[in-house]
Amino acid sequence: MAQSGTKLTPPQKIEMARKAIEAGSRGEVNPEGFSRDAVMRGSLVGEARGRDAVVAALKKAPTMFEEFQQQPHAILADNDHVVALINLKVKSRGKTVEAQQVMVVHTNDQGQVTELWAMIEPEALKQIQNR
Amino acid sequence: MAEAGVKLSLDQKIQKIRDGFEAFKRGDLKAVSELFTDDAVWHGRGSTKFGGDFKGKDALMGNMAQFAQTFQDIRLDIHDILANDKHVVALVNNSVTRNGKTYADQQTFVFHVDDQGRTTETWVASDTEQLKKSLEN
Repeated sequence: MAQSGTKLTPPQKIEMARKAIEAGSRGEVNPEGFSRDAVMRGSLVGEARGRDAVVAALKKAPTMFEEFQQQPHAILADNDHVVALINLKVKSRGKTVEAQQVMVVHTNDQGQVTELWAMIEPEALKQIQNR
Repeated sequence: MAEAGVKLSLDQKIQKIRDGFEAFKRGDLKAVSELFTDDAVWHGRGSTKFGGDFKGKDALMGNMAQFAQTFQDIRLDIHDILANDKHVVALVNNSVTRNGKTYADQQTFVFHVDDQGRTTETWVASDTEQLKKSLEN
């Protein structure tokens, strides 16, 4: 985590996002990566408001499946946003569903997530929910 | 249009996508079509008639034209655009009106672009199924 007042560059934010996605796939989430008033809206876990709720929601996602893999295809960043294009693979009750997931992250200057959207293509989401 | 062999910068690629949204908003679908390669693929969102895969420029432009004819007062306001060598991603605040009702949504357009900034593949992601509701009504 960057120190307070240190403004991260887009490449630094990309590297942070890559590590966070890798850790998130294992159910590991660093609370310090989120602002206190962070908001998340996810296709799998719904809406969460506040750091604790967001962290809990992110930790919950991998536990919903026998297997949960998020492989970043590309990560882009500018001063305000990080966008991760992710190949998602989940397995449950013996069925595997692969989908493209888009994560749109609003960040502050310290690279903390203030808002996170995790969208999965609706048809794949239906397959996951109907498993 | 850049000449063949000229590799566009990220800013130029972003500008081409911005130009495409502006052309769509003023109804200039010919200008929009010039931004796609002939074999471009459009992956639409959800289970509406605009969802699914549209392969080839003619098919995807047909889908786009039908979208424009189905809704009134289509608003596509770009919130931000990001790019790297192979992608341009547009975060868009979108609203459409149909039968007097307006539906608002946030969409993410992921464009795969070649060195000349032409789009070879587009993925549309959205956080809701607002479009479906608007068609059902």
